[in-house]
Amino acid sequence: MSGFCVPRRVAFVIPGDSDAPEVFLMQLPDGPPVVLHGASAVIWVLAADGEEDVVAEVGRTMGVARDMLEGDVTTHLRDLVDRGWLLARSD
Amino acid sequence: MPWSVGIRFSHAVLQTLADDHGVDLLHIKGPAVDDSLGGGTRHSIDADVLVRPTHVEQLIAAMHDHGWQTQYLFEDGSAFEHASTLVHPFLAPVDVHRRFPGVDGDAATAFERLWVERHDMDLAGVACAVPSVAAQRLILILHATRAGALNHPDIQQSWREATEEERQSVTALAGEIGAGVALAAGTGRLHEHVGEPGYDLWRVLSSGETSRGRLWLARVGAAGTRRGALRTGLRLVVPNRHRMTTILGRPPSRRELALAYVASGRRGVREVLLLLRSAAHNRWGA
Repeated sequence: MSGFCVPRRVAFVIPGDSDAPEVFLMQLPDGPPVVLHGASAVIWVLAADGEEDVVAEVGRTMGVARDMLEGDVTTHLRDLVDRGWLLARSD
Repeated sequence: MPWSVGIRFSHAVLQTLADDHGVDLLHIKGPAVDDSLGGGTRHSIDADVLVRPTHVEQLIAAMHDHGWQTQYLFEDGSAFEHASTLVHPFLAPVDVHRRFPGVDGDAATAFERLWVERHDMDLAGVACAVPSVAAQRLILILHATRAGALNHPDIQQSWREATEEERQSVTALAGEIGAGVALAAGTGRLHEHVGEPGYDLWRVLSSGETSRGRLWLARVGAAGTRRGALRTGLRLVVPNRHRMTTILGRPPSRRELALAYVASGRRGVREVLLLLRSAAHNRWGA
């Protein structure tokens, strides 16, 4: 696995006027929409943006050491893939 | 979910349904407007799409299959009968346009003219087809003009602040699709079209006229054919059963329909009579 991308039939909106990290996702065309908040939103956005080392970038963004969050971030990424909100790239 | 998010999702859903069902549509107004014309900062109440006229039924059938319900039929909307409104349990409403008011040329030909110059815009992560920037300028100007809002920021941005070259592109496009009169009404050049079809209608609309009588006469006059005039005239006077159902939350009773008919007719007739008397007064200087 060398990164992630947004599945073709997932719509997403990152509101520009929100103070806290927030992303709305929806499977097309029937939904329903879901919202990710806080760290979950940060992880999705970084992964969707093509960040190869999401764990490192989350650590930098949130000011936390890599070994303290690697397990949680990896588990969350796997969960986002399982739920269809991210696609793991295999290239 | 914030309203602005729901509108973007509606655009994304419409594009997906269009792709899945071979429907050609263009996303217009609201967040589909180019950044140079205010784009993402716009506040809308619904998502607007312009559909190739021959694909309209196909799109609406697909929407019905995916949880959308028709709130207003084309005949229930404005006197132009240009758009149908569909609603969804959790998405923003969608106005499906089969033509755009002010574009008097053949709707299918006009759509094709806009379609060949389309490009993609990202809405909610989905590549959505939008008209050229010149066409977007024209659509925004026509929309504001129809509402009589000649000082609307859209006219300011799309016309007054445009370069001469940009204005020429808009004017040329308007000429090709039969929107020359409406564009002129919005840009202070309507006097160049005196006597042309649509002149009276756009003179009245662009003045922000609220008199039912004046609007009625102008629309009936612009209908072109006797059959069209009769249909337009009736549409403006007869109460709309579908709209009343939406407002009341239930179908109107026969009594309510009858009362609405009388009230609507009285209002329209009274204003038309006043208008005619005022015209006679001016003519004879009494």
